[in-house]
Amino acid sequence: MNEVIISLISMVSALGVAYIVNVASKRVQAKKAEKQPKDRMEQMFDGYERLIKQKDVEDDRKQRYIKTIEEELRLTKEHVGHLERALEATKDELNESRIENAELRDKLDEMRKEYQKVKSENQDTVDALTK
Amino acid sequence: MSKETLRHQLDKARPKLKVVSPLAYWDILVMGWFNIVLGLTFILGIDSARFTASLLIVNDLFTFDFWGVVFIIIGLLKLYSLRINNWKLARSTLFIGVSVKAAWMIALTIRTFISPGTLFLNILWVTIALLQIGAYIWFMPPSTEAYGQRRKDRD
Repeated sequence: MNEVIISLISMVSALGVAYIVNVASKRVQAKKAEKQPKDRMEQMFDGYERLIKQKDVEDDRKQRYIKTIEEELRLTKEHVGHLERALEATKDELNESRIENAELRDKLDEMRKEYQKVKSENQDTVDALTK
Repeated sequence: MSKETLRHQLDKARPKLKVVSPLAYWDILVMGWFNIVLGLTFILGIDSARFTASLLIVNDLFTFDFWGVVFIIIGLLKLYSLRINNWKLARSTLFIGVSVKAAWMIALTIRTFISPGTLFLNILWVTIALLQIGAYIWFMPPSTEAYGQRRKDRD
């Protein structure tokens, strides 16, 4: 019985010692942290954090660039549409002009033939009168 | 870069305990092997029948075999924490070791007063326990959770 009591005292005392050691360790760590607010690990984590922030800034810049490119692409598509419509209209005008030219050329040929015919008739009349 | 890859790189980037705190590293290493040897001795090397009175009073509640297994597990965990460079596990095993050794220290001290013959063993044990307590209080770097908490407090 006596030894059981001593064992219990040992266990309870050990818990007390463990508590004191734990508290002392935390206080020592806190004092160390005050003296050295930034140790190697924190510097490393801060470095990673800065890198992540840099990547965020870079991502924002890329996002803005993408929006600018999308706007440019939209305007370019509109411009291409305008150009296509203008091209179609010009082609139509060209076709109409060619048809008109062909008609005018036919009329000119007829007029030229008619003129030659009149001219030859006049020449015959003149020749007959001079004889 | 995926989160898993980043976490893996962070784990690898953590400096070795041997570099950050050599004293804590050697204390954990020596204590780890000491615990394993002590545990094996308790299990294999001690003939309980030879002891008319228990050498250590704590063993009235727990047998030598029980404490042998406890010490071996603590020792293996200590060595494993050094192997994987896990500071949190190293701190935990050191703290468990402090608790167990403190219990044995108190028991041996009481035993020294009530029955002579264990003074030398008591001095040795107190020295070992104090070394471990000192390593835990002054030389062991805080775990990453402590860093995280301090960062939250600072922010």
